[in-house]
Amino acid sequence: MSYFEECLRLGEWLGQDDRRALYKYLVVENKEIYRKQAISLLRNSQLQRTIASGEILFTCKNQKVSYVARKINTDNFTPEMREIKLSGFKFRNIAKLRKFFAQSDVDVIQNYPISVEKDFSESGFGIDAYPYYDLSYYSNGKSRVIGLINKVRTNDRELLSKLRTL
Amino acid sequence: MIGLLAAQFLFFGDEGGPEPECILNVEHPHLSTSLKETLGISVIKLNITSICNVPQIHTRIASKILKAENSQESVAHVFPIRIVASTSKLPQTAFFKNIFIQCIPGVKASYRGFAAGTVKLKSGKEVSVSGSSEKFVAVNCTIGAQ
Repeated sequence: MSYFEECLRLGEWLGQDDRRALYKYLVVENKEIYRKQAISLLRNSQLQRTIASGEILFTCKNQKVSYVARKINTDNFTPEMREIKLSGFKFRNIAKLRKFFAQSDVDVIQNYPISVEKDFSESGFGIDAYPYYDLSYYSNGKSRVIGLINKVRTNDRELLSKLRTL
Repeated sequence: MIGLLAAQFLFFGDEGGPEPECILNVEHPHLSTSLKETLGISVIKLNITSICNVPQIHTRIASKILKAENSQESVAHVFPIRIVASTSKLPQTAFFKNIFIQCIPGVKASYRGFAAGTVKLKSGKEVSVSGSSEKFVAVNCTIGAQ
């Protein structure tokens, strides 16, 4: 089993470094898929897809994109967990949406992992408050300058090479 | 306190009733063996629950583990700020389950947990919460430098 496949199964045991590395891995590996999905979302205002044992519904409304999620084959979606504001430029929006999709995928993977005996949805959908593409994540909500310094200091190379090993 | 909040919720439900109140229950940091079995790593885990007497949408918290060393308290680890939604089955509660950090087994250290944040209620109001596991408890595993 590859480390990526293992990440799909870890669920709540996906550590903070693993979550961030997984985001960086998905942004690069799924670049083309996310680009096509972003174009589809901007055209149709809705996009639904699955990852691990979760289903995500993205909605584009009033220049904002948000998502709700649920475990596959269940009824109740979560409340809106994240949103991003869009600009007037399609190219910029596609780039923003690629990051948003990767972030949403990590959120869903940690909450609805593959083949778990325990029902993780029982404990409520949990996410890191600041997305990994935001400098606030690296400063835990404090100054963006501190965020930038901490981002430069963060080294995910080892985890990324583990993720890239098939 | 937890029982009282739950009883208030059952009695008054979502309408009228008491002034919204929420508490943050921070358990003692403990050594978890679950990851040892799957990935071969030891972690110190902090279980946190926010409980209100009215339904909530979600709870947002900043949490950390403090270490006792030479009669002084220092920060051993600061976790990223987390948001957890309540569930349809337990609308007044949010469970924080994946707050943990890798540690080096075999070296004893004393830790306590602390968390603070806000609860967004279904009514739209926000309530501030904070909690601590209070006493330092010895764990046979030490958190490395951040």
